[in-house]
Amino acid sequence: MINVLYRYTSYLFFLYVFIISFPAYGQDQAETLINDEMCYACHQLDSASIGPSWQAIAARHAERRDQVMQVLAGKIIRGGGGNWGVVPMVPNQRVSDEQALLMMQWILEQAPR
Amino acid sequence: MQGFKQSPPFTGMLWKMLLTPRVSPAFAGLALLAGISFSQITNAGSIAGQVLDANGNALSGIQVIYTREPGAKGASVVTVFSAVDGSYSFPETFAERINNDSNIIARGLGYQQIDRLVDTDRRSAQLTFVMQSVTNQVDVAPASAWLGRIEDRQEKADFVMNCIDCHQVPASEVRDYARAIDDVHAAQPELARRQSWDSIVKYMNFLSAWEFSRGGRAEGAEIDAQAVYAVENSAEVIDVLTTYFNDRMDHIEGYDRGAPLIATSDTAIWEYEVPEPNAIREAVMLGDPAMLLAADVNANRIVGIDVRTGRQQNFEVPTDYLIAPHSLHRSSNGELWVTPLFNDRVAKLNPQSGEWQTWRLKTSTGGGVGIHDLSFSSEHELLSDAEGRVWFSDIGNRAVGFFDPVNGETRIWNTPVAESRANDSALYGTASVYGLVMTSDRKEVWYSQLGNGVFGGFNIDTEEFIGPFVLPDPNTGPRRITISGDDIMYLALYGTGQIAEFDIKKREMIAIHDLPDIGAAPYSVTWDSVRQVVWVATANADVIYRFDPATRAFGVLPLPREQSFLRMIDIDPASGVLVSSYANIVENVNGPRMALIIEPGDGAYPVRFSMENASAPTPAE
Repeated sequence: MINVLYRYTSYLFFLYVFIISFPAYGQDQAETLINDEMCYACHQLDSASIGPSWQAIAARHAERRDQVMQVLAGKIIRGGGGNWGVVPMVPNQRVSDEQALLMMQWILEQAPR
Repeated sequence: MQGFKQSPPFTGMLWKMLLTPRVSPAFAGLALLAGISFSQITNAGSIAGQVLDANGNALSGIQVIYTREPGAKGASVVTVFSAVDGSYSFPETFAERINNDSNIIARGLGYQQIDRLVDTDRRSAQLTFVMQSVTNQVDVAPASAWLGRIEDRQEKADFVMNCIDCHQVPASEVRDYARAIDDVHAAQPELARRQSWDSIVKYMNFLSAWEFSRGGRAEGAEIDAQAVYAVENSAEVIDVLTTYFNDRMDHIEGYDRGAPLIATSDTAIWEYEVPEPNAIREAVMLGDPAMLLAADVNANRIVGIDVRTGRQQNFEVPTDYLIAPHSLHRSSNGELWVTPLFNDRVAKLNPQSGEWQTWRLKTSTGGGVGIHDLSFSSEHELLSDAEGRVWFSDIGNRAVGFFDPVNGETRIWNTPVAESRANDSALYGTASVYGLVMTSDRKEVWYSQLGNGVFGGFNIDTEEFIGPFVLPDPNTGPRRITISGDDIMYLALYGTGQIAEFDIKKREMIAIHDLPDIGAAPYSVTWDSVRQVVWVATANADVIYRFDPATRAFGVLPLPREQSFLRMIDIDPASGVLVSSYANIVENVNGPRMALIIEPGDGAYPVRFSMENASAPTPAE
């Protein structure tokens, strides 16, 4: 009984490590994308400029992170406003669905430490 | 052109490489051997038909636009115009079969296509288009149409000079943003609009600073948002945007091109897409077989496009420095001169051999120069002075100068101050020297200064300036200029939407002419020595104008898409076809990236342009 429990736990542990390693794999790519797509024209990591900071966005959506991830990724491509003030975000039509998701995954991890 | 925008550049090029026929006869032979149906290969596609309105009446002057599949042999898009009796026909027989899925549409200002009847047989396709007239012209009206909201001409000229350097304003994406502002339904709409347009101006400055510091910027270095093409007078610009772009911008009516259409049943436009990423901004046509040579201002290359096959190759400028090819000049012996994005390198390409010659210019005092345009003649070909020296406008030093291609000797002279402009602190007594031409006796060069509405001349023998001459509005914006065989100089007046006609020999202004659309932002003018007319390249109106000095009349040739931002027009000396490119530079600007050839269809030149035998000036062996 103990042996089975032990095996199960270690299996879960390695599975956990396997899963959490995925975001780190795409992280460089996400950061490069965010740089190349000119996001820093309006967003900073920890202070509001023309748009909200990554930390503020991550904090706002922390609880429902998984549910809103896809919707917010679409926001990168579509733009639009009304949630953080009156200034609409510009659309980024060159960004693909996959790229937008990668970027949003990274952004939503930027909760203040 | 939505499809082109979305496809990733690499797979697009790969697709094109795979599908572009290499050697047709051999392929056909192989195909026969392989048992492929021969009829599918030789079933040629010629297209003709008519354009009617909803009551069956003929419609003239409607564009019929055929967007071909990626990898098709030759041009990416071909456009013709319907004649007075509504009929049209495409000038060449296409290699592919035309059928119901072919992307062929009809387009005209104030019209909407409501039906397309396709009748094909093995040899040809007959397409009948039915157009409904519509009041809302939003689909076809150019960006300049919306500038009609700004009634004050000085306010309009100021706005054009501030905003229209990299893309059209208001292009469709600008109007989309106006809609996004409205969609927010803010409690204080005008304040919301002001804050939103303020953010856009900041965004523009960021983008242009990033774009134009490429190659000269260290990794991770701070971007200077005030560099190069920063919006000056931000407060005034935001005022204009807030005041005039104050609705959803999805409805416009009553816009008129303002001049008769000069398109005939022989007019044709061939557009060649250049896969992204690129920032092509100028194109000329040289070589046998004819090649469009397009300058990519984001890179170190000229893109060569074979006009018959569409195949593209890169001519890399052999320098260690990001030259950023900016202006192109054809020489009478078929060579291509390339000047940079304002640094001190000049390059010359032999398009037949692919060989380059480059110069790095330094003045006798060791200073650098910022070269913009080179001296050219009434034939729109590079012209050197009697001692073989090439003259240039020095946009960096506000000067004119020469360099000797043989020994590299370089000298510049700073342009004189225009006193009446020097008093206004917002303006300059002397500003960036932009366009340049040389008189027929090769003794004078004449220049324009975009930033302060001034132009003047320089006597090469006496080394003395002539003028300066001050145009009425400081925001007149004399940009590129041209010269006729009689030394009449024409200046494109970018800000005020006019062309100026100046008699160099008499040192007198003949007249300043309003363009049919004064929001058109004319970037350059080119003298056509055979037709004896001036061709006007517009940035903001999606048209080319033709000005006839004898009748003082304008004609208009509409281009087949929005965001047709032109910066130059060259003319093939043998066939008289016009050559240009859409220069939506800055990678983040949406909009077409194409080089184009236009057959005006007036039969004016002795040699008729033929796609099958297309050839252009070529350097002698």
